[in-house]
Amino acid sequence: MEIHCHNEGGTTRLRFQGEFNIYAAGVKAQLLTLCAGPEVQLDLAEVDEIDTVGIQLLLLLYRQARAENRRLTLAECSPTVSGLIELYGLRKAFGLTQPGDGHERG
Amino acid sequence: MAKTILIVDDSASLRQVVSIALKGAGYDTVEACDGQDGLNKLKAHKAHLIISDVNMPVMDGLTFVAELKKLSEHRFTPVIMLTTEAGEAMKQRGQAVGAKAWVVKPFQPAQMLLAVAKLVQP
Amino acid sequence: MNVDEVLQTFVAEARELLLGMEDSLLALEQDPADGEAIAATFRAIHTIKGSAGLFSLDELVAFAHVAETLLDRVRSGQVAVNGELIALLLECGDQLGLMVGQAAGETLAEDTAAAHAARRADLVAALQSHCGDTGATVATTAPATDEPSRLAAEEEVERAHNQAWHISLRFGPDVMKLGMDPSAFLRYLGTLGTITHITPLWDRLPPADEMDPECCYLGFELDFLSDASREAIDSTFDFVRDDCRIAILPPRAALGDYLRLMAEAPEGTDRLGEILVASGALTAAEVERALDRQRRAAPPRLGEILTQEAGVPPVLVQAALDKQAKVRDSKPAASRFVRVDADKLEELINQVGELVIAGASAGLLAQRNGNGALIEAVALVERQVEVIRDRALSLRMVEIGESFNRFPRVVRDVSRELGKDIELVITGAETELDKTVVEKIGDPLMHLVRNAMDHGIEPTEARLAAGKPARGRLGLNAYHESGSIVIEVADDGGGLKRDKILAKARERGLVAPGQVLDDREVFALIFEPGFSTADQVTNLSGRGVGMDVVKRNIAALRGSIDIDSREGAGTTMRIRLPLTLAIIDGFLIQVGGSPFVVPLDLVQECVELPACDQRAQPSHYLDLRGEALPCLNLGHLLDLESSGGRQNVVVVKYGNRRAGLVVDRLLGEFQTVIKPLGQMFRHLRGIAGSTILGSGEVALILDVPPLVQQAADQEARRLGRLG
Repeated sequence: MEIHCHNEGGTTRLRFQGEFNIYAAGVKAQLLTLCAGPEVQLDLAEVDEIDTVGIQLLLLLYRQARAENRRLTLAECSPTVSGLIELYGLRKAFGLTQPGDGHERG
Repeated sequence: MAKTILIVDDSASLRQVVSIALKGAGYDTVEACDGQDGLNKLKAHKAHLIISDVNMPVMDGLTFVAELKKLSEHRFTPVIMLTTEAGEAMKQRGQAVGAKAWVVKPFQPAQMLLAVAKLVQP
Repeated sequence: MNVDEVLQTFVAEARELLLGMEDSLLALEQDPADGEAIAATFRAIHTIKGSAGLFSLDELVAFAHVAETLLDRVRSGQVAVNGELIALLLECGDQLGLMVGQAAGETLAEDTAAAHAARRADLVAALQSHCGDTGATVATTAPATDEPSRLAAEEEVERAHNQAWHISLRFGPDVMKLGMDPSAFLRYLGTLGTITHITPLWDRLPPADEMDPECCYLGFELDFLSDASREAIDSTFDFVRDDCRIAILPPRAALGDYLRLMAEAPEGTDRLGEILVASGALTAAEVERALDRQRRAAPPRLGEILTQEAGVPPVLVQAALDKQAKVRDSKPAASRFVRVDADKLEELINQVGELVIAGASAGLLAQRNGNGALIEAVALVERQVEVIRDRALSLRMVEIGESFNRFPRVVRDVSRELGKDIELVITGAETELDKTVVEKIGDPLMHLVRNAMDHGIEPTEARLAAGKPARGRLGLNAYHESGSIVIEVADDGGGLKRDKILAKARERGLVAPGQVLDDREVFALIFEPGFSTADQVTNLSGRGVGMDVVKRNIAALRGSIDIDSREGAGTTMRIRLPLTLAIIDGFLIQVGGSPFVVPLDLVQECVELPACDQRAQPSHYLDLRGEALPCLNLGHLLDLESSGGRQNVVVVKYGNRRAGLVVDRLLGEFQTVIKPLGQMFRHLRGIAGSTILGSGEVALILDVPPLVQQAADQEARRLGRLG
């Protein structure tokens, strides 16, 4: 997986490319460093494979940002990323809007 | 893109039947006739899942899995091991090398498809 | 490819495995401690059984299973190897072979099939008794005990309203390292029904610096609408069961079950209660009532409801693992081979044959044309074609061992039947010859081997009386000799009784009174139809059929057989066969204006016919450096008018005999693709086939062995007349 970092006016935009899966587990430290800014946008539109390792890393970043009162958002998601977020019921956790929630009980 | 499954078994007929079933379900397949051949095939192919027999000449299935775990590019590939009813002890040894998924031989192609679908969807 | 086609692969593979198993069992008989032989036997049965299952050959699977179980015990040392066991397993192999044959579509007569079925039942019983089993199947211990009590308590149970299954999942830390992603199981579940609500639990995700990204920290509480059975839903998690906490509650599960679920949740009772209410699995009132019951009742018993749960990691058997981890340096895999349809190979070889003809034609034209560069280029092409020809033919070359490897079993069985102690010594098994020849030589060889054991090798007492070792020796040997393969079946038995054969032949009128025959000729008499000298007709041979058939079969392969025998010391049957039936290097000659081909391998030299012998009527023999060489004048023999000019003699050798063929012209070497003669010309003696020359002309290929024989006969008659 490749991560492209772009800083503009205090906003960090990280563009992920490739397979965000267990073989990319080593990016944890790099990600934590890259995501230390006050306003971070993650662009996952070019992620063509993601698994639970990727999801957990995203959760970690998200939790870290919340705890430190920084803003971290999933700006763009490829279908495979949003598919897994949907499957795991993690839309709310990532602060995403909830389309297609009509079937939910509650 | 279809998911690729590597079938490692010394029986060509078994490989072919499993391969036909998997292809019918939308997977791609690669065949290898023993553990060593399986490792060779992994040099050229990415596999999303491996189906491997235990009892094979040249390199048996457990050694194969143990070797697989040493390959940085393939070490997290799920493996379905084929075993016999009499294989409880073998299963324990397999668990130790990281083979958790077992399918008992003989099996019907449909059973194999179900087992595969639990780990990798086409 | 479809499954039916794969069945053919299965059949071929199973037969190969059974043959290999037989070898292993025989090796085991020699050395009962041969671990590799035990493992190989086990593997053969195991593989056959595994593959047979895919083709729903249930009977075969069931039978193989019993044998496999026994072999597994043999392998683990629980059952000892002895002669009885080996005999039993050999017979099981035979039965498996029959069943494989049936799978291949071979049909048996009804009574034979019934007899086999009965025999199989006996074998199963024998296998089981060797196993130490009484034959009773392993009792399946069903967890039936708590079901009735639960039913009895039905009335008092308060049930949740939830119409969906509720599944509680806490994945173990290592699942992803094992290649099993939680998402795969949820997706699979999606194929069995609909996940109506899912609550992800990631409370366990540790602080950033402690978090191992390869570890799984996720859990889920989900509600699932499905008509699938409990087993089907349950089986979703088969592969992760040992590493996960999994609880599956059916629709309208008892509140008590939910209560236990909450009580045992790592997140705590209250937190899980909230989750269940938030997801709609339970109402707030239901949770309240459940908790209320808990306060009144005794603490719940762990694991009573949770269908499967095991926090204990599996025991590591490190010692076993280490042993297994060593790559066994067993023989190189036989499976490095590509299985090719024999017809395809046949086609290729035919095509190469055409290429050879076309090449020869181009060469001829180039020669005529006289263009040096062209000649050179064509010669280069022809050389390459020659290489391709050899390679193509070598594709069909197989080791004769393939034919030999059925004999250890035969010798073992027959020697037991005869009560003789016979050792089989195989040499030259790696000698190669054309597969089509190998296939056809099996039966004649079998006959010779049986014959040697039955009539060649004497009973033990007779051997001892003759001062020979008690154990008889039967040798199978193969080697290449001047373009032929020679296969020998040798025994150290009593040898052929020359006088007895001769007397019998005279009695039958096969030999004229007063006719003098050398040893070779006398021995050859046993190949005459209906000729048998056996004193005692046994089960195996000696019924007067066979030896003539053997000779005919071998002759059909353009081969020959001769016999060396010394009374008291033994007999060697020597079969000589061409290496291939398709293409030969030929030597082109001309007789009466027509071209003929002599297989080059058999040509020793060419000499000019001395002037004094030119046009001799008919020339009988030639003085070749002091040796009397019997000669045949092909012009006379084939009734062709000589084209005039000085004649030549082609000296051919076949076996130990030499003869001269008197021809008009020598045209040189020529690659020859053998085209078989049509049925009409089968009776032609001395002609083996035809070929097409580069010019398009047809040339007949001379069948040298009968010609050599004819020359010898002619010479013998002449000497007879003189004597």
